Amino acid sequence: MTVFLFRRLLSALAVLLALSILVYGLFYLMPGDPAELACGKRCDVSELAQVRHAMGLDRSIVAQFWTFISSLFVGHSYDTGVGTTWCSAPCLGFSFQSNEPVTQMLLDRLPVDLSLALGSAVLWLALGIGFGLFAALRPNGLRDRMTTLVAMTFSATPLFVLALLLLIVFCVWWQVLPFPTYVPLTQDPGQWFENLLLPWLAIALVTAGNYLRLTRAGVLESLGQDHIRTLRAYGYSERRVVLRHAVRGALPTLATMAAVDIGGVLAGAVFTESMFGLPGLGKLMVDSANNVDLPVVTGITLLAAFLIIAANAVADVLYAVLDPRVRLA
Amino acid sequence: MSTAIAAPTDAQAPSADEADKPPVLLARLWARPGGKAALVLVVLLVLAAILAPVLSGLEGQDPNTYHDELLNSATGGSPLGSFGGISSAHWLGVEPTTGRDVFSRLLYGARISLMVAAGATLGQLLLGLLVGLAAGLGNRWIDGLLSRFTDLALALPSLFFSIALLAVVPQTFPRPLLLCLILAGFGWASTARIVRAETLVLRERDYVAAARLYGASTWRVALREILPGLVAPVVTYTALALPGNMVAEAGLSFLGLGVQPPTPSWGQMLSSASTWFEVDPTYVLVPSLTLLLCVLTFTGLGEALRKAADPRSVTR
Repeated sequence: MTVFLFRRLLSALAVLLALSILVYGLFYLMPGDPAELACGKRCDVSELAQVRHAMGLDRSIVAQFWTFISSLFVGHSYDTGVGTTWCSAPCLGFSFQSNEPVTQMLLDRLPVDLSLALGSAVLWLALGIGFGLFAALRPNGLRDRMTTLVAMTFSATPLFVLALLLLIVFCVWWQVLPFPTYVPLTQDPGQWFENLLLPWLAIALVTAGNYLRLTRAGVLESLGQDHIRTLRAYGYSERRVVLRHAVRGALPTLATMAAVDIGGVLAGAVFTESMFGLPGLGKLMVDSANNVDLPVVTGITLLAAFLIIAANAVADVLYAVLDPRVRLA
Repeated sequence: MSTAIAAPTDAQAPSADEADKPPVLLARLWARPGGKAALVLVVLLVLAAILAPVLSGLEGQDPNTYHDELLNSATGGSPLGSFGGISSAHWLGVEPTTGRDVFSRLLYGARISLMVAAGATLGQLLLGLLVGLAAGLGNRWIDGLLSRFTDLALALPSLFFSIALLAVVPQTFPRPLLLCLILAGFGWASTARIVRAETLVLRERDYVAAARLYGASTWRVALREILPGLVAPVVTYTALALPGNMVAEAGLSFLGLGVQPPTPSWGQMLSSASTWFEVDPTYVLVPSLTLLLCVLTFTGLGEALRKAADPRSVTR
């Protein structure tokens, strides 16, 4: 197990390094001068040279990349011409737009995505596993086909379309929920819950379909196995056989998928946040992209890559813990 | 010995399974009730996009003319009349604040949507085939390198990279082409993985060994022996990838990073609709439901194709 963990960690680090080279390369070697973007429109030649020097753009690519990577771990001091600014440990530079340190901007947004990810995960797991079991109790029956059809329709629906439809139904026609605005959990838990209910529902409805299918398939597969036959021979009811024992066959796959999906939402639910106007990482990403705010865009992409790779690593480890057969491979 | 045997001019080696050929696949698809419906709908959609000028001509409108006289200035420019200003002149109403005709914008938007989705899917298919075949037929070293590269591409947070790229590439670069390139560039990896897996199975078949014995080059083996056998799985996968690309294009345009105004696109309509959903729900529902219908149709077609290509999966 230790060897497995170590190997998994090493490959995750390798992928992360490759990705950070890619991120850096993409954004700083692109057409268009980052210094010009940072400096703004009314910037004369000498000011531009000054900014270029401050950003380190007059040095070689390798040196620039080294600064980029090392400042993530030890910080970096910026020479602004009038003095130096210290950017501490996980340094991702400063925003072109607001001059705030990018790391702080990302940390400020993270609670929104954390709320989104946890709430929607609870909802999609409940919906997916619940209806998956419901469908698996009588496979190929009418209710199995109906639930599968409905779930597939929701899975195929684009998130922003579903979000708009939910807004029209719940906020305009029925007027049962407020138009979502983010209220921190620490400020007012009731408001937090009420405002996030629609975004959670939107993410959960689109995601739950996969969980339904996996639960159904996993249960049906393990129903064919010997230990289930034994339980049936003991005279246990079908309900108990399915709900207590056959479910276990689906667990490893469900847990790994949940880890990956939660990582995905945590990295920024771009469409959900844009649609509902929630100030999370996804919204920041879109806004910064529209303003060509390179340091913020780079920072979020790197954080997203990190979160997604970490989620994948967690998923693999979870799978190995839950299904001992994998460890031997 | 090695040079004595020339490659056969007319391929005597039996090629891939007869059942996997496209006409048979199409016939089987047509025989399925769901397949028939999906196929008809897809043909209608494509026709509607191609005939966009003719159909808007029938309506007597075009996508870019402003109709201020149809707007209510008191509400900030919502359409006059009920249901978003639907009338005999404007079949699906008019756009808030501009009064442009929704029906013709929807049709012209379908062109962008279908073109980008088709282009991206084609690009993703070609790249995936190239990398997958090379990995499947190449030696251990090439396979290892290409497979790691594929893994890396699959690990990318592709949405974030797409957004970042769209932000960085200058606006002078044609956006529909850029969207195709980006979507293909981030989508090829899963195709490559499927192609590689199938190639590894096919290359062990007797007819491939026979072709090799005849002295056929790797290129010839790839094109004449392996490729026909890949048609069924690849076509199926492609049909399922297309609606995904369609949603991705609409999504990126929705975020304001895809196709730029005044070119009509569904994503853009949705994005401007999202500020009007309280006053003018019709304007939201029309592009949403159209996009939804398109995506469900293409997904349905993909599912039907999958079942037609693999009849065993149907008889459960």
